[in-house]
Amino acid sequence: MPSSIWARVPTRAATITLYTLFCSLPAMAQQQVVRFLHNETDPPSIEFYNKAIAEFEKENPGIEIQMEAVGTDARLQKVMATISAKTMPEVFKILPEEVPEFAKRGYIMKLDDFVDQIGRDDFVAGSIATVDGAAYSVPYTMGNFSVLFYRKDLLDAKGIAVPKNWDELKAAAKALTGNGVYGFVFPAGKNRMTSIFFSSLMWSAGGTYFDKDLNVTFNNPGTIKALQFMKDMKAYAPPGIASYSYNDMINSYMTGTVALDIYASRLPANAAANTPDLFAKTEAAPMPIGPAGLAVHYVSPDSFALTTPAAGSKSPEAAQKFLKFIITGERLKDFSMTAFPHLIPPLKSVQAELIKDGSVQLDNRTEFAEQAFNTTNALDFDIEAGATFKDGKVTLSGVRNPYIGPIIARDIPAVVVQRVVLQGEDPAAAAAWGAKQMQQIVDDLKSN
Amino acid sequence: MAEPNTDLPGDRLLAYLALSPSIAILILLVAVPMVTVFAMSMQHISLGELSGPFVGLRNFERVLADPAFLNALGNTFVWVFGSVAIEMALGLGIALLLNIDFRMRGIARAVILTPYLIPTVVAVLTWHYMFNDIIGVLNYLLMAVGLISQPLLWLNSTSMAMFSVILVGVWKFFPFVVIALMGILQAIPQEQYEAADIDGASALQKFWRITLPHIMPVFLLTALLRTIWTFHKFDIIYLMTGGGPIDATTTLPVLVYQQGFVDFALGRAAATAIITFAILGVLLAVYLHLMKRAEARQ
Repeated sequence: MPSSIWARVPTRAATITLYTLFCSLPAMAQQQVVRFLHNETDPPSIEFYNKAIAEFEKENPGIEIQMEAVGTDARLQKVMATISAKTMPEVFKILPEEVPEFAKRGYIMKLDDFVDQIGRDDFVAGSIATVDGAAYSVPYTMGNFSVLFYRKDLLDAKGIAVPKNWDELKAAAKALTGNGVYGFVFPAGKNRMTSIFFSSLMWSAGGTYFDKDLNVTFNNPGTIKALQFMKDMKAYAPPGIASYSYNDMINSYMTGTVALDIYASRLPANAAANTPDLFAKTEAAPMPIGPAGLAVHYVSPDSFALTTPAAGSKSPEAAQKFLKFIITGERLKDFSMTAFPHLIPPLKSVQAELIKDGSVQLDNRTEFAEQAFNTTNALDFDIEAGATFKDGKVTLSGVRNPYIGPIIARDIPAVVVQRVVLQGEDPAAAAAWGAKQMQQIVDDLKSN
Repeated sequence: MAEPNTDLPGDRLLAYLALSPSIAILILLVAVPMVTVFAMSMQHISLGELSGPFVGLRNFERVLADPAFLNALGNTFVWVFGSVAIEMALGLGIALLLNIDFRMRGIARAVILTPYLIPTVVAVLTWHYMFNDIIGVLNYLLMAVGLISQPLLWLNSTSMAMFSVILVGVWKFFPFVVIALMGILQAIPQEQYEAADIDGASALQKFWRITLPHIMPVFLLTALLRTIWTFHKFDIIYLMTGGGPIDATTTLPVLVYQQGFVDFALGRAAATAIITFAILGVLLAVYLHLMKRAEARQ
C-alpha cells in the first residue's frame, strides 16, 4: 500500500543519514582547520593566496585553510576581538610593536626553531622582531614607506631640481602648487599611516619617542621641527589630508594633481597597472634629508605569528606547515611580485632575483626597486627607543620597546599631527600634550 | 458588573509553560549580558581576559573624570538630536507629500525607500567618494553652480565632520519615518477633512487641528525608536570618520569601542556602556511621558 511505503520513508532517510555521518566521522576527525587572517586585500594578493592555498590543500588533503582578509586599520581590532573568546586564528598578521605584549601573555608561539629551519642567516638584518632574544613572528615582507615619488614633467616645466632636503622640498612644493596642482601630499588622518609618516620626519629631525632606558622623550626639538614642517607643508597639500590614510596617498597621486609624494612603492606598482601615462611621468628618488643630516626610512617587517593552543589554536602543527609553505621559496617570490617593488622579500636569497624579474613589470625601470629596496638608515616603532643620529647614520640602541605598540594603536602621534595641522596648535604645545598621553599609557601598562 | 473568573486550575500553569521559552530567551539575550556588563564594569580587566580584580566604582570615577567622555557625550547629543530632528521633519514632509494622490505615486514611494534598503557599508563608501576633496561630486556640483568657491572639507574639518555624518545618517534613515507616518496618515478618516473644507479651514488649520493630533502618538513613537537606534548607532560614524578628525565625531558608542578594542580596557568600556544606558533610560522616560500625554489628549 502506498501509505505504508510513505510511512517507511522517514525511517529510511534517517538510517541513510546516520550511516553517512558514521562513515564520514573518521574523515571529519582527521580534517584540520587552519584559520588564516591577514590584511593583504589588494586583488593580486588575494589571488595569490587563493592559488597558494589551493596548492597547499592539494598537497595536504587533511588540512583546510580558512582565509580571512581584513582592512589594514581593522586588523588589530579583529585579532583582539578573538582573544577574549579564545578563538584566535591559527596564523595571523602581526606588527613588530605588537609582538612583546602578545608574547608576554602567551598568545603566540616561540618560533626560533622555525626560523632556523628556513635559515636564520638568510633573513635581512633586523627583519625578525625578537622578545628577550627569541623570535615570536616570521616576516613575509617588508615595507619601505620613505621613497620620494615625483612628477618629472611638472618639475621640468618649472625648472625645479629633485629636492634633496626639507628646505628644497618646501620650496619645490610651493613652486609647484597652483593651477589645480598640489605640490605635496602627506597623510594627516587619525590613523597609523599618519603616525608612520610623522615618525619618519621626527627621526630625520633627530627625535625619538623613547630613550634607551624607555623614558618618554617625545617632547623634544626633533618632534617640534617635524610638526612645524608638516604645518608649513599643509599649504601645498590637498585640502582633505586630515582624513588621509594609506590608500589616499596613492589615490590622490593617481588623480594627476599631486607633484611630490613620499610613500611606499605600492604607488608606482598601482600607477603602472592603472594609469600608465602617469606612471611614465613618475620617477623615484631618495627621501629628502632632515635637520639631523639624514633621511630616516620607516621600514617595517610585516610578519605572521602562530597562535598558541591556549589562545585558541586547534591545529598548531598544520599551521606551522602552512606558514612555511607560503613564506618561502617560489611562493615568497610570487607574493612579492603581486605589488612589485612594494613588497620587499625579507630573504636575501629572493631579493636579488626579484629586482631583475620584477622590473619587467615596470617597463624595465629598475630605479623604483633600487629605491624601495634601500632599507639602510631605517627605523621601526619597536626599535627606535634610544636611537642616535650622527654622521648621516642611524645607530640603534638595541632596546626593543614594549610600550610603543599601544601608543601607536591609540593613534597618539596621529592626533598630535591633527592638533597642529588641523587645529593650528603650536607644535611645542602639541608635543607636550602627546608626551603626557604617552606617559599615561606607559604608567597604565606598568601598573598592570 | 465584574466578569466571573473562568480560569481553570490548569490554565495558569499552562500559561507559564507557554511563556517559559520566551522568558528563557529574554534572560539569555538581555539579562545575562546586562549582568555580565555590570560585573565587568567593577573589575580591572586586562588584555585577553573577561574578568579581573574587583575595583568597585573606580572605572566609573575614571570615565566620568575623563574629558574624552564629556566630549563624547556632547557629540552624542548633537548626533542624536541633529539626526532625529531632521529625519522627523523631512520624513513628515515627504510622508505628507506621498499621501497626496498623484500619478506615479507608487514609484515615488518605492524610490524614497531606496536609501533604507542599501547596506550601510555600501552607502558609506559611496558617500566617502562623494565627499572626496579632489574628485568628490558634491564639491564639484556646488562649485559648478557657484555656491562655493573652494572645496568643502566634509569629513576633514572638526567643524564640518559631524554635519557630514548627520547628513549621511538622515539620508539613510529618513525613509523609516516616511513608512511609519504614511501608515497612520492613511488611517485618518477623510470625513474630518471634508467637514473642515465645508467650514472653510485652511490647509495649515487642517494639518494643525486634524492631521497632527491623529499622527502624534505614532510620530512620538517613531521619534522614540529613532532616538534609541541613533543613540547607539556605531557603524556609520566609525566607517565615515573613525571618530575623527581628532575626536570631533567620537560619540559614546565609538568611545566604548575605543576603550574596549583599542585601549583594551574592558572594565572602563563596560562602565561607559552602563552610563550610556542610564542616559538613554532618562531620555526614554521623557519620551514615554510625552507619549502618554499625547494619547490622553486623543
